[in-house]
Amino acid sequence: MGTINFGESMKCIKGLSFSTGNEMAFDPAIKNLPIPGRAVLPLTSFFGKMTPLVAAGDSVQAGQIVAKGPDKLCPPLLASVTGQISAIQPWPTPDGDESLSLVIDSIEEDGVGAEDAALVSDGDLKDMIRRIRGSGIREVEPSPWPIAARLAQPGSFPAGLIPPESDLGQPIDCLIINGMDTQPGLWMRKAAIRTRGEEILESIPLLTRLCGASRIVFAVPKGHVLSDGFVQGLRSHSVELVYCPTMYPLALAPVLVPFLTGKELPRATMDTRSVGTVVIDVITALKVLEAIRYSKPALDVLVQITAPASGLDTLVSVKEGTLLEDILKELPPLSHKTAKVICGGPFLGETLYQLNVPVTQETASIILQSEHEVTRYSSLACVSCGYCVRHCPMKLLPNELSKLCEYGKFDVAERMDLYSCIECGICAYVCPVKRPMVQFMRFGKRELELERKQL
Amino acid sequence: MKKPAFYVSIPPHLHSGDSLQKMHLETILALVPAMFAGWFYFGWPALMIILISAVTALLTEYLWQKAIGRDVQINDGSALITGILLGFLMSAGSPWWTAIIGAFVAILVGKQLFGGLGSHPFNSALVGWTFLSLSYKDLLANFPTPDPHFLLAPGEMLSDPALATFKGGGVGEIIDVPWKDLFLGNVPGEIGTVCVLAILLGGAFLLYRRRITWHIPLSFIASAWIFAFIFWQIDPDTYAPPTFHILTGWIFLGAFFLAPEKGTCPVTTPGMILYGIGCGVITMIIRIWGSYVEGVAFAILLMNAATPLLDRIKPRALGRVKEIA
Repeated sequence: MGTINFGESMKCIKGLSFSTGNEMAFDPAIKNLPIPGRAVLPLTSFFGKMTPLVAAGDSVQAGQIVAKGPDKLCPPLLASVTGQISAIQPWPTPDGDESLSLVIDSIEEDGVGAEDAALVSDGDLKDMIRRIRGSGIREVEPSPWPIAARLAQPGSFPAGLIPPESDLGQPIDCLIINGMDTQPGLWMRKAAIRTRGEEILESIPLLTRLCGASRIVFAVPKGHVLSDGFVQGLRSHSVELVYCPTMYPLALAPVLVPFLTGKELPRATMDTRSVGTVVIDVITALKVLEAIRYSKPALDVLVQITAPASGLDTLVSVKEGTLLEDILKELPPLSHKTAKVICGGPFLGETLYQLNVPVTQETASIILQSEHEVTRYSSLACVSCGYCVRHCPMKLLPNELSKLCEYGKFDVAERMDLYSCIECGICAYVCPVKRPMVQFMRFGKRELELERKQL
Repeated sequence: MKKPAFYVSIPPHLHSGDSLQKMHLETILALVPAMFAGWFYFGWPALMIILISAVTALLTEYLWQKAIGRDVQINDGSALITGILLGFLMSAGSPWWTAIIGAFVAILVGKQLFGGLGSHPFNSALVGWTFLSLSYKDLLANFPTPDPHFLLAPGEMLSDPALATFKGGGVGEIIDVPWKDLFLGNVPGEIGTVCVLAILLGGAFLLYRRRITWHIPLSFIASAWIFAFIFWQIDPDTYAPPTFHILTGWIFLGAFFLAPEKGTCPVTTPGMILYGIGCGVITMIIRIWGSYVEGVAFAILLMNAATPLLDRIKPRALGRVKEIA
């Protein structure tokens, strides 16, 4: 915990200070895994259920659109491998749930070859937006709008697609390029800055042109050593370089945007466009660059696989839809028995109950915990020690909220700003009683939703 | 049924490793200097009182939880802290059985009848002490003269606790007591309250370990000092100097150990500061105009009652209010 003075309206931030450890400790080399024999593409996304455009038995090419979203805003689903649809059936998903999925048996053949990776001209704004939409980019962090709609300045996005009540028609003042990893222990974005700095620099004028923002901020964690060339490149694009405290959950948009711009996001939706700001992380920025410059669809997924007990911590690049068990076969065998599989990071991730789960673009991290690393929650009463209140980045009273949700007083919890909770999990992390805080918050929100539906 | 292959849970999947045991163990460690001071000045009877009180507290909690069929949780250490603190609030000359009664009431009435740890609105050690002081006032008022084991000469300036002397005889009686004696605890008084130095050591440890924050201790002591200072400025012949006030009695123990007891104090920054100020001001009001000699206990109990109200004063949550669709 700590405070830092910054800006005018955002006097201090609260959260969890963490050490990034030795800056050179991680190995930024990416292990490229071969095309899997089978890829499974769940027909769900943040934006709703997707409708398949193919049937079992159809042949598909890598990069071909195989499903469309519930509305035209939603990016289409692209086949990540060339092959044949063997089935459309329920399959476990990386969020620990299950959904109808496309199962593709791949054929060893490189569909998207080198000739496709040729440089294409940028074209006008509408052209660029169309290419981003078509490339099927999806992001790790949930956001109310897909990246193409978020990045588009007014006028460049097909007007018919924009929901009239949304804030997407507003001009964009500030573009935040997020070089900070969302959670302690993840270093994928830091690695990207180190290894693909040139390309990130290349993407900045594109992003600036797309969103038309006058202020461009590049946020990196304090202590991260940037090369002189990179810093000069940022300067030449008149980008504000901000070294942010290494504090979880500062890298998440609902905390990062107020920290950098002084503007608060509306609760519940946490829509950055409503305050004229776009947040894009460096990995997505690279995908956008590839989509515009090379018309390259986003078929590869970068995943950090961590198994602390076995000393495994590596980045792998796989085709979307590769099953986790197939990935693990390609890695050195673990020296411990896996007791818990976490998909999506130590603080925000969901647990998987089996290994035949596909890795999707929303997946950033897979953690394999051994038996003794597994945390256990307790059912004891809150002792009101106030540690969660000290650390809550949204300035809530998690102790009160957890008690209110526990005892079914959901309406009071709503008045106590339950919807400002971003479920970062810090309250549960610091709780000496080990209460399942996030579960209480989710329970409360869910019950309120059900109540609202009944009305 | 087949045993599932992996654990499934909601996030987060990491924990700080903190626990109630660690939290309470550190508090007990912080109490050790004051315990040592109690032995240093008042000898083995002081430790005896603390021991009796602590054992009774643990036993009461154990038997009660057994009796009502709850999981026995005496190993979380909270009953031990209550027992030790109650011992601190008693004189080394008190009869041994008063410690038993006090600790029994502290745990049963002060804590378990409300539902146990986290549910009790009042500081349980103070509930026990209040019961004792209302029932056996004269028995508890037997204060032995401090007899330091080494280094210091016995403090013979006072035969009664400094506050009682002041209450009985006015400023003239206490004006010559050296502040060094008050700070080191070389005066008659309750076992754990006399030595400000020892309490400060423990308090500093708790602050360093972030078990408590500075808000309550600082606002408590500062507001008591300022309040006393105002009246001392008005009439130094009637009112005692402010530094005398904060160095005597229970103010430091109250500020670092009794007032910030988890569950009975507010958790928001404005709430904690108002709580501390309330404790300080009420203490001084009782000391100056009340019929009781020491006001800390009742000040903290009164502010405990105000805690739910003070917790309403919270910082505005981040996130603009927008109709939820």
